Amino acid sequence: MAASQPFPTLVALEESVTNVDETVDYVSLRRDIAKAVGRLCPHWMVDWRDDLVQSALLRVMHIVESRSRSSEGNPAASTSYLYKVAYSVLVDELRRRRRRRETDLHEDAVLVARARENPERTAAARQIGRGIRGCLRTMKQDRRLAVTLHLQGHTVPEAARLLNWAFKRTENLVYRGLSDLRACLTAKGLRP
Amino acid sequence: MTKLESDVTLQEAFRSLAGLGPELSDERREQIWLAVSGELAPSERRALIDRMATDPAAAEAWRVAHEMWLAFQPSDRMASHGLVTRWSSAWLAAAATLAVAATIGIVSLLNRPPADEFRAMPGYVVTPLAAADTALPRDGFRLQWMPAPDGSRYQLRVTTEDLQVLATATDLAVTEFVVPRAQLAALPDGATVFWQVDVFLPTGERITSPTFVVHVK
Repeated sequence: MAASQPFPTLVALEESVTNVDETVDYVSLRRDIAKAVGRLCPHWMVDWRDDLVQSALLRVMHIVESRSRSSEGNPAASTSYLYKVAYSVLVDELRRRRRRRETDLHEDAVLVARARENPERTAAARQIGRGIRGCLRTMKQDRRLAVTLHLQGHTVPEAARLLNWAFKRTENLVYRGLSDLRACLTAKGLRP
Repeated sequence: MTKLESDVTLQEAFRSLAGLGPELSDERREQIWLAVSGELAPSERRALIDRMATDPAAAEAWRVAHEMWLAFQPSDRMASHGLVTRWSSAWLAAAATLAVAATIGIVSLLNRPPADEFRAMPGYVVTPLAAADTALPRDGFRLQWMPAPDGSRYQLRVTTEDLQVLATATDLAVTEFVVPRAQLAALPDGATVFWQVDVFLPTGERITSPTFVVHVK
């Protein structure tokens, strides 16, 4: 998805937006985007973090301003809307950076990013990642759900809340699911 | 390698696939936001999580949505509630609970999965005035909750534990509702009643409470 194209999710996102009259706090939003980017960015993307934050913020501002112009007389966007737009923009930006890394072989920033990578480590991680995906496909569904959230970095209480299951049940499923996963990976000849 | 290190390696490997799959549709992107903010029914949320297991783009979008959702939460509420979320589908959670209970022939509130929690707008949480599991008399089956900001309106649903609707009320300006005795006539003493409030704030925001439980006496 190219950055220069109109933001494709704008219409879908706007449908569920509730307006409240409040000042748009871009300072806080920028801080929060930076925090999220810091946690989400892989190592090789570290030099792009500031640029990524700035690009995301500018796109959010552009979307919010476009929206204000098109809904003349309506109050400013709600804070929840801003964060929702920021989420969508960040998804696009992260994907765009990955695409650039894969396809733009002549840009300096891409070369720097690639130099930061350990190709063998990246390849090994992806191989295990594919193995994990294959193992998850064959896992019992309850365990798969619990393990997927664990792999996404959720704690057991968070996973229990998201799955709407009791804590103990979720904890057991994560434990058993991880055990299944390790056994499955070993059977595939993969050792994480 | 310790178990913790192994877990981290697994997580990194799982995330390393980000960007490799097909692009995420707008609909899926929207669903993910609704899921992390608790506005998706638990069954739909689980279906989405299941998809994430094999869809790297959905998995990455989920991580981004989760981070931005956490950032959106006021820190004071984060501290008091742990992960604060808008869980507007408590009603569906209760239905799921009852389906399981019917299967095994036991309805036990103590064993119920946690009600789908919710996050409210900063400063207001729907709180019942009576303690959970209180028994209310048939002649005065009064459900009460803490008021929201002036100008708010309330919508209420009251059901039996098998989700038969006993009463509904819309556009209430007051924070209480008395279930007519006649509506409770078919219920035995001790019967469980679920109730839930939707609050419409003057700003236009809607807050859905968890499902509260009382009994008939």
